[in-house]
Parts: sequence; C-alpha cells; structure tokens
Amino acid sequence: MNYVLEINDLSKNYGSVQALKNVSYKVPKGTVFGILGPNGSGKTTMLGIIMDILRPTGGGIKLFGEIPNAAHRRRIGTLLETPNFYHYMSAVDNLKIAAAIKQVANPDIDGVLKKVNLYERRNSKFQTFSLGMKQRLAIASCLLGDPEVLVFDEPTNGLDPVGIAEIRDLIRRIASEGKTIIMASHLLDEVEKVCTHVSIMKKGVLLANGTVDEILANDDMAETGAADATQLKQVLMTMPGLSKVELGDNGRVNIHFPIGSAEPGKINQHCFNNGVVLTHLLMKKKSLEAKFLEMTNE
Amino acid sequence: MKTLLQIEWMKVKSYRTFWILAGLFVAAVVGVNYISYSINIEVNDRTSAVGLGTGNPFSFPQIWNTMAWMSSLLLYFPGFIIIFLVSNEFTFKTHRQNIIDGLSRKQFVMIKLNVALIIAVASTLVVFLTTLVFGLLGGGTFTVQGIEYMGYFFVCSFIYVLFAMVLALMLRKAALSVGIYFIYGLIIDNLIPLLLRKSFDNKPYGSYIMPLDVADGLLPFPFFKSMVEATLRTPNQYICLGICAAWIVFYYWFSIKKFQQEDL
Repeated sequence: MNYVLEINDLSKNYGSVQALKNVSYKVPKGTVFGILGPNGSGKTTMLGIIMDILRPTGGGIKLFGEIPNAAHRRRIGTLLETPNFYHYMSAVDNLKIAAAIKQVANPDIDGVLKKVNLYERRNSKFQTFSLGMKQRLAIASCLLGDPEVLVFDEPTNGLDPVGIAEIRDLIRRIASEGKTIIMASHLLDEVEKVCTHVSIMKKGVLLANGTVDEILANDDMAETGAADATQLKQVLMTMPGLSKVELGDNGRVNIHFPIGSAEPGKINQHCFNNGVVLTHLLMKKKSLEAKFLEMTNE
Repeated sequence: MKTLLQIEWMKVKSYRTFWILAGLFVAAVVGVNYISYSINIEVNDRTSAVGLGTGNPFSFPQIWNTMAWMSSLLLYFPGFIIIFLVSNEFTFKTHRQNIIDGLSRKQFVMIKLNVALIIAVASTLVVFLTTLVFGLLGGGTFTVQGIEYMGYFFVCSFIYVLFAMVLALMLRKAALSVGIYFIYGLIIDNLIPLLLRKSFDNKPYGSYIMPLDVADGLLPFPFFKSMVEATLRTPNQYICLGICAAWIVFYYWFSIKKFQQEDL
C-alpha cells in the first residue's frame, strides 16, 4: 500500500497548551482523506507541521515515504488557514510567483484562474478582492502545476453556496483523476459527500480513523413511521435479530440491526402481520454529523 | 539561486514604496553632497584659512573619503528598504506561503541576505557615480588613489543593511523595526562605546564592539583633517574591518539559525 503521508506519534506544545498528543495515522495514495474536528482540535497545527511551518515537539512525519523536504512540498498544492498573497500585486502576478517557487515550467495561469472563476479579475490587485475571491485565488494557486497531492484547510471558508458546490465538484473531479486530497473541514456533510476516508480529532487527540463507511455505520438503521408510534414501537420490539429500538424525531421509530442484517422487506412484512401499516420506511446510515457529535461530546 | 533572485525581483518591481525610497536615496546622496560641496566653495571664497584643512576635500583624491562619509549619513534609507521588504513577508504571511509552496527555510533566509548584499552594492554604486561626477566637475585629475573609501563605504552599508534585516527578521513589524533602528543607530550605538571607553580608562577597546559604530569607524571625518587628527582619537581601520567581517558572519549565522528553528 502506497502512503502519501505517514504521521507517527506527533506531538506539539505551544508553551503549556498541548495542541497535539501522540497523533498517528497514514494517508493512502488516491484517497480523499478528511480531517474533522471542532475548533481547537489541532487540525491546522497538524497541517502546519506537515508543511514545515511549525516545529513538532515530538514524533515524526514521512511524505511519499521519505523525510520531508522542500522538493516534496513542491509536489503538493496546499491551502493552509488563510490565503497568503502580496496585497499590492495582481492575481496573475501572485500566481507567477507561486509558480516560480514551485518550479512549474509552463504554468497554465489563465486555465487555473478560469477553473475557480477568477479570470475576469485576473489583473486586479489582491487587496481589492473579497474574502471569497481571496479564497478562490488560494485554491487556484494549489492547482498550479497539476500536483499529485492537494492539502486543503477549510477550502470552502468564505464561499457562497454556489462556490461551495463548485469546490465540491472540483474536488470530485480531481479525485477521479487519481490524485490524493487531504481536507480539513468543519462542514460534515461536505466531508460525507466527498471523502473516502475520515479521521476525527478533538483537543489534539485522534478519536477515530478509517474509511467513511467504517466510521459512520456501526449498525444498520431503519427509520419507520406509522399512525400510532407507541404501537409501532411495541411491534418492532418483537422482531427477531434486532439490536435496538428507539424513538426518533418527528414521531418516527428507529430500529437498529447489526451491520448487513437489516432487510426492509422483512420489517414491512413483520409490521403488517402484526396489524401495523407503515406509512414511512427508510434505510439510513447514521449521519456523520450524529457520529461526530457523539464522539466529540464524550 | 538565480531563479530565486528573479522571484525577489518579481516581488519588488511592482512595489511602489521600494521605488520611492530608492529614488529618495539617490536624490539624497546627490543632494547632501551638493550641499556640502556648495558650502565648501563658499567657505573657501570667504576665507583663505587653508591651514584648517589639508587640500580641497572636494577634489581627488580626498573626495572619495568626503563623499563616502557624507553619504554614510544616509544609510538609514537602504535600511528602511530592507526592513519593508522583509517585514512585508511577515505582514502578508507570505513567509509561510513561500515555504509551503516549496522553498526551504534556509533558501528563504539566504535570498533575503543576498538582497541585503545587492542593496549594499547598489548604494555603493550610486555613491561611486556621484563622487565621479562631482570630482570631475570640480576640476582636478581623476585618480584611483583613495578609492579604498568606496570599499569601506560598501562594508559600512552592508553592515547597516544587514543589521536592519536582522531587526526586521526578529521583530516582524515594519514600524517597530524602523523605530528601533533609528533609536539604536543614533543613540544606543554611540552611547555604549562612550560608556565603555570611560570605564576602560579611556582605552579605545569599547570602540570596537557595537556594529554600527565600528562600521562608522571605517569612514573618518573628512574635514579639517589635521586638526581632527591632532585632537580626536581615530580608530584603526584594519581592526574595524576585521570586526565588521565578524559581525557580518554573525548576522548570517544568526538569521539562518533563527529562521530554521522557530515556528513561522
């Protein structure tokens, strides 16, 4: 298995504040790897250490299987925390500098600006840009040279819903080309829609790490509804093979089965046989949001 | 390294403040020397007190010393330029972005140190050309005797600019760096040698420590030479050169070490 990034026992203290505590994980090549966590969980600190902006207090990192150096960073397009550009220079000039540092021979600056819808403003000075435009310029800079790995720290920060959808499409397109994307975000449904793997952090500690399916579903869940919720619940509790029955939102009743054993047809049959007509039956994975809140509230 | 210098040029060429400060420096060099040149002519016209000085400080070969000394008063300008160039990177956080995009930390610092060197060379060139023009205008035959003062000027400007650069690297803020640069250069850097001289029983050891003071020691006061030499203590220029070299090495070592170890 080819790993783009390996993190071993990484720790970072800012004085007495411990931002990262012995974090370890690996990012496989070709995945869309999401890093989730509440504010202050250490996501940006971790990305900063990977990009040699911050010095770790302990532990180590490997990029492309080697000790990180500047050449590795040139193969990675990164957006870290804020868009950082020269205020007195235009978008095009700023991208020229970025391309020169990345040693990209013939940068397709116009093309990259078109991808993020900044082509019309390409000659305006950076200081005249709105927050969304600055963010989009930062994303454009990441795309220079068509790097094999992209690292995004809150890429949709400051973008309107259209912009957010565009970035989602962009990420999907890039992922389908076989590139690796590492994305730190708060937006759980974005991560759910786009990522293949996810890791959850809280207060500098890695709480969970794995594929999205693994993290999300620890069981199958069916959301059912009928005219009389109490009766529905009683009937469901007699079903064989279940793991849990509970009341859900809006008068629904949720029934849980061990992974892979739920059969909607059988639920429907069982209820009808016992005199309950279902008005609503939906197979659901536990949402990432629910899982996230559950894990970070412990 | 050549591409890195091209990148710095890209950063600088659209920066208006840079061009304004550079233009002001050139104008100031010409201006300040012209003023003293005119005063010198007036003084010579009104008095024939030739005994005050040895020869005309505005003709070759003394003019090399004179212009170098006068222009060294203006070395704060190149210092400002490098302070702005370096602290801009911190203000815009592009010092982070440059590293993220693929510069190594050492490359980032080295290129700034080289920019300081280029500024010092450019300043010396400006003074050299101005001296040529004034010297030829004033009549008198061109000679390269005394041209070592241009070399001393280069070392002096390099120290001034490097010191400003290290200040900006440490403080990361333009206004604060400029303020401290001024206060240090005008007051502290002259005060400490004075105090050291007094405590060392008037021996000149204290003159050979503070960076800007030692750099100034390379360029002796050009007017009223015989009187000056009789009354004031002038430092040994070769010792000053050695100490300047030590300071330059220190600045290089310190900047590289600091930038490689800290959080950006």
